Amino acid sequence: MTAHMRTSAEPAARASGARTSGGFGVVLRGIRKQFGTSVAVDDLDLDVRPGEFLTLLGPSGCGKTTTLNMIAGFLTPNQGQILLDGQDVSRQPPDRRDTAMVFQQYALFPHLTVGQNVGYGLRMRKRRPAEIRVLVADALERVGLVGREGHRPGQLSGGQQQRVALARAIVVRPKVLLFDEPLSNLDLKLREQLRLEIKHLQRELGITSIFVTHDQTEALVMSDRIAVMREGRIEQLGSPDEIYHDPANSFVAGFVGQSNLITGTCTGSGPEAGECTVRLPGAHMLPARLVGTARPESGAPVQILLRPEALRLATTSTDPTVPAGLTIDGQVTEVINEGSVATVVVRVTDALRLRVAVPDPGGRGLPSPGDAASVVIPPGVARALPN
Amino acid sequence: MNSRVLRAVRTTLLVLTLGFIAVPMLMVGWTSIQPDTYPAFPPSGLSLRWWGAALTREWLLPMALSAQVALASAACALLFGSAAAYTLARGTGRGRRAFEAFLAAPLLLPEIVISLSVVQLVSMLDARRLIGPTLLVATHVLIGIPFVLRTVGVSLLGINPVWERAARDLGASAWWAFRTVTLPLMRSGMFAGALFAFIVSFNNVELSLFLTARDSSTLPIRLLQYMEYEYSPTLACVAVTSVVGICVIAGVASRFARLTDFIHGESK
Repeated sequence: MTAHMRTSAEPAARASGARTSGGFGVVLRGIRKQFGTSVAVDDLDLDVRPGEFLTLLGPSGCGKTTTLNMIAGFLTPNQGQILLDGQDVSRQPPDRRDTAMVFQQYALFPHLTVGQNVGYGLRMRKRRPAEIRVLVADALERVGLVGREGHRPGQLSGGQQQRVALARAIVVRPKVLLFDEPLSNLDLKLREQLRLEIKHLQRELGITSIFVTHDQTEALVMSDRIAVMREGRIEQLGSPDEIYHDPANSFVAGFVGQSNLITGTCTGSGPEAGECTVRLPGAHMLPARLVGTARPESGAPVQILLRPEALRLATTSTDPTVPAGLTIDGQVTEVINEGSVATVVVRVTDALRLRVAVPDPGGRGLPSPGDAASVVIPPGVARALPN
Repeated sequence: MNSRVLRAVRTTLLVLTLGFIAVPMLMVGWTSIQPDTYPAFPPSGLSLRWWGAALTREWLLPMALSAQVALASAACALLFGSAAAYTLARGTGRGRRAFEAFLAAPLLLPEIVISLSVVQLVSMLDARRLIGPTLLVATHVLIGIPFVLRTVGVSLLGINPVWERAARDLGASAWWAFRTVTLPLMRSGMFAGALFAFIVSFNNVELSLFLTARDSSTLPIRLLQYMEYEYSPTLACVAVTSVVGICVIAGVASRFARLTDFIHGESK
């Protein structure tokens, strides 16, 4: 039954104009939104590719939810255009846009059963009751809630409620799925599990998805591309890998992942093209790859990014497992052991404290605060960020 | 020890409160089924002799008029009060507080003053022929609205606006989202408010005093007029009849919506 529906529901989606990738593009052009005198979104351009999973990542108040609400039609931009599958929908009410949102607070209708909740959008689309029953059952199966049609949302756990909300959104096969921090009310275990489920479901259905979150891990795990936002603007748009390893600036570097951000002094161009040599506090010289628009002049201060997991800790200066590189001696001031990884903070000078990640710390005796230790910076891991 | 004292105090208070509420009703009920004009203690027996006079046109007609007026004014209060409550709950404007206070203002004026001013108004406009059911309904709506405003307002507090958003997002027009999501959720508050509005209208004396036509009185006014000249336990029978009537209506209403349930929240 379900298998039959899968094959019959998807050609219908294709016939309605889907591209070969199975999704539809969303284009934001010069979007601006003001509330009173405060600018929430400022001249934003974004091109979401058909079928892609794009995350808007940023701290609260960065404009990511406002942007999502403008795409859904809950807010109207003061300026700019929103193109959905090539058509300008900026002035259309939400019910005229083929988008479906999964809300942070689930937003299930409390007086309706799970089946009626999931079928709501289909009823609005005037589908026949028999067809609705089959599609609802299929959607519930996809989110792992077979046979829960008769339950009330209040009888379900938070995770189950969010699965119902997900089923309610995908069952109408929207052109775009919108996610407004859907996992932030769930506990960590469930969050980690649902991340993957949503990702798999999205890939399976090929529906273009825009996901809003302030959780950088969520963004890195789920996204095809991430747009890091701050104060109504996009600071960087790129793949999770680019965002993590080549952050465009210190804001992105600080927001995504753990980082050592050190202010050094540029002393000239580096040994290789696209590098500069930086004098760290404590007079060590370190070549760093220039990122983005960074073109520091000789003698100018420059921000260096060192990811803790790229650094190595050597308790003896002749430790053979430690790769070659710049070795800096210091003293351990703090050890934070999280089980699968430990973070050791090494003080070199007052202006230079380095966080070093030690994977699988159980087996190899961690140093204690007060111990002498050396930090090795392997070649090629340092990044010089634009100011 | 401490908790036992506390429990004793609580039980005593509860019994006193219940007794305080029950005594007048018990007195009325007892008066209606005993034989003496002025009930005596110890009681001299049981009798239904007063009921014959109570269940006649003289009393049933005013009762019917009261019910009609109460029904019509409760319906109007429900409509206006619910609309106002929705506007207040979803509005963001600065005038919200003033608007809310203004809607409850009729409760602040002595009702007799409202009644008098309505009479003056219709005299001034040379429209005294409106006195009777029409004007009764219109003035009773004034005191019905604040009740509906409260109960529906409380209902709406439990209705997350995001539910309506979700409905819009799934393709419902603004009206249909309201109709299929918000309205069903505020229904119990509407029932409770309408019931309150019905009861305050049904039992109202002061507002009705100058507004009933000579030949057709509402029940409370008829009771008042009767008592000016004589007293009979028949009055107690009439009162019992109207209490039973209201209880029946409340019972029917609660079949559609649990009245105490108008604070909605997440449904179970």
